Amino acid sequence: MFAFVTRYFSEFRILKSASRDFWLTNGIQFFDGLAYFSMITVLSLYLTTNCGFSDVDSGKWVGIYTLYITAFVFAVGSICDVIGIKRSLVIGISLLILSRLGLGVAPLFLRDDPLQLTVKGLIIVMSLGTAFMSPVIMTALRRYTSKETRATGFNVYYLLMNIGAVIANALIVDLMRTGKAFGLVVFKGFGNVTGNLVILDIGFGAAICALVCSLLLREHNWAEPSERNAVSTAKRPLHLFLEVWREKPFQKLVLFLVLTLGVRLVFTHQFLVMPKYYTRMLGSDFELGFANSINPIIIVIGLIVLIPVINRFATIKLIILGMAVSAFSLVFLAVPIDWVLRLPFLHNHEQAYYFIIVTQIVVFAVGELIFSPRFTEYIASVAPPDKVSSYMALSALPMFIAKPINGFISGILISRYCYDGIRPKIETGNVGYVHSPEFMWMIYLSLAVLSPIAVIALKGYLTRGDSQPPAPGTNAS
Amino acid sequence: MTRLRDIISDGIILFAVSTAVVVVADLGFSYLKESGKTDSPMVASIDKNDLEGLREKLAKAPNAGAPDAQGRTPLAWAAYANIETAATLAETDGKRAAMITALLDKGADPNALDNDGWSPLMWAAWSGLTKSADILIQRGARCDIRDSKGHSALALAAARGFPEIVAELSTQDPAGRKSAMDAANAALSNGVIDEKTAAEIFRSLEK
Repeated sequence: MFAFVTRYFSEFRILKSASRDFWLTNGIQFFDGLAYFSMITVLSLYLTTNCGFSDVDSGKWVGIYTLYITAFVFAVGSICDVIGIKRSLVIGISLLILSRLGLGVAPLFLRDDPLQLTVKGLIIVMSLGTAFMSPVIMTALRRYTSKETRATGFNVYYLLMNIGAVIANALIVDLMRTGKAFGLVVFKGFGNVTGNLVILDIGFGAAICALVCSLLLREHNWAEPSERNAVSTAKRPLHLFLEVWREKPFQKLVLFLVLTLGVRLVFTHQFLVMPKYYTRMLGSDFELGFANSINPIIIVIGLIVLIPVINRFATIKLIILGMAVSAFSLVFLAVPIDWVLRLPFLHNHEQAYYFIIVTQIVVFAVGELIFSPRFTEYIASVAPPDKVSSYMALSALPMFIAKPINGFISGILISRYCYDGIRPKIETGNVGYVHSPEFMWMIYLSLAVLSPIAVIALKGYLTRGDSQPPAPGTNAS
Repeated sequence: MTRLRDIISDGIILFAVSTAVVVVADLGFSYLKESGKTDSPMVASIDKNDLEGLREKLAKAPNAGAPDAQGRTPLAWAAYANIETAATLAETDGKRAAMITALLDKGADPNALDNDGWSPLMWAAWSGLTKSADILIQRGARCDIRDSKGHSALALAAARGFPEIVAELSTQDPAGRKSAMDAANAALSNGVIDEKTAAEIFRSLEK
C-alpha cells in the first residue's frame, strides 16, 4: 500500500514547474468546493427548517437547483472562448457571492411568502453561478498546464476537490451545527437552525476568497505556447444535439445512460434524501457532515490504492460490477429495522440506524469508486473518433431530465415515509414496514437494481461495434 | 459578439426548456402530494423556534391551527424535539414552553390526539421537554392517555431516560408505573439509558 501512496504522490513533483495561475485556479476550486459541499449538505434542511418549505417543496427546489445548473452548464460551456477565463470566473463567483449572502441572511429579515419567493430567486441565481465554475475551471486548468503536467494537474484538482468535500462536511457543517469536529467537542455550536445560516455565510466568505484568487489570474498565460493560437472548435450544445441525435452510436449511448439512471440517481440522494433521513432517524443534532465525509475519504484512498489495480479489468465489466455494488448498498437501508436489531452486537434503534447508515455509505463508495471513473471512458469508447467531445457534452442529457423528477419523488417519499416525528413512532412500534423509511429505500433499491440488470441484459447490444477499445489503465476521473 | 449572443440565446432556450420540464413534472406529481409537515406557517415558526413569528401568526389566525397529515396540531409540534445533546435540548425546551403557552392561550386543545393516539404531552415526554410537559399538565393535559400500542407519556419518558418528567408524571398517572418500570428496564438493558439515570427513574416510580 505504501508503494501505491509514494507512486501516486511522486508524480506531483512534476508540478514544481506549474505556474502561479495553476495554483490560483486550484485555490478557486478549493474555496468554491468548501462553499458548495457545505451548502449542498444542508440545503434541503435549510429550505424546510429556516424557510418553511414543506418536504415536497424542498425536494422540488433542490431538484430545480441541480436542473438549472445542468441547463446553464450546456449554455456557458464555451463562454470562456468568448469573454475569457478571468471575466467568466469573476461573473460566476460574483453571482455566487450575491446568492450565498442572500440565502444566509434572508431568513433573518423576511418571513413566510416573501422569504420563500426571495429564496427561490436566489436559488436560480446560485445555479447560474455554479454552472460557470466547473467548465471555466476545467478550461483554466488546461490552459495553465503543459502537455507534460496536464494529467497530474487534473489529478491534483480531483484530489483537492475531495479533500474540500471532507473539510466542508466534517469541519464546516458539523462544527457550525453541533460544535463538534470528528466527534470532538470544540464549542457549543450554533444549533440546527442558526447553524444552517452560518454555513451559508461561510460559503459567502469562501466565495470572496475565490474572487480574490480569480482577480490575481493572468488571462494570457498559456503553459503550452502552441495552444495560444488554437482556434476553438467548440460548438453550441443545441447544434451538437441536432448533429448527432440520428446517429446509431449516440442512440445506443442514450440508451446506456438511461439504463444506468437508477444507480446514478443514488448520488443525488446524498443531498436530496440523506440529510433529512439522518437527522430524523438520529436527531437534529446528528453529525451529518461526518456521515457525508466518509464517501470522499474512501474515494481519496481508493484513488491512490484501488484505481491502479482495478484499471486492469474491462470497462463494461467494471461498470456492471460497480453499479451492482452501489445498488446493493441500498439493501442495508431497505431491510426492516427489526431484522437489523437481531444482530447480536446491536441493542437499540439508534445503534441499528448508525450501523446501516455507515455500512451503506462505505459499500456505496466502493461501488462508486469502481464504476464512476470508467463511465466517462465508456462514453469515449462508443463515440466515433471525431465526435468524442460532442458525445461527452451531451452525456448529461438523461440526468438533466431525471434530476428534477428525482427531486419531486424524493420530496413526496420523504413526506410519506420519513416525515419529521417518525422516529418516536418507529421506536414505539406504531409504524409498520410499508409506512417506514425502510420501505422508501426499498422503492429506491428497486429502481437502482434495474440498472445493472438492464445493462447485463443488453450488454451484447451495447458493446457491439464500439469504435475503439478503452485504453488499459486509463483513468477518466 | 455573435458568439456571446448565441450563448445567451442558448441559455434562454435551455432555461425555458428546464422550466417546462419542472412545470410538467410538477403537474404530473401533483396528485401524489400530501400536505407536508411545514405546510402550516405556524409549524414553520415552531421549527425555527421563532416565538415572535408564531405570536404574529396566532394573532391573525382564527384558532390555534389545524392538524397535519399525521394528525398533529401545532401544539403537538411545539411539544416535539428530536435532540440528543442535553444543553441544546434544555435551550429548546425554554423556547418551546413559551410557544406552548401562546398556543394554549389561543385555545389549542391540550388533549388533541394524532393518528396514532399521541397527545402533546406524550410528544413532550418522548422529547424530554421538561418545562413544556409541566405547562401542558398545568393547563389540563391528561396523563392517563394511552396510544394505539398502549404506551403512556410516563412510559415514553422512562424509556427515553428523562427522570424529571418521570417524577412529575408518576404522581399524576400511578396506574402507568408498572409499564413505565418495564420500559425503563428494557431501555437499561438495551443501552439506551445508563445505570445512574435508570436508578433515578426507578426511585421516582417506586415512591
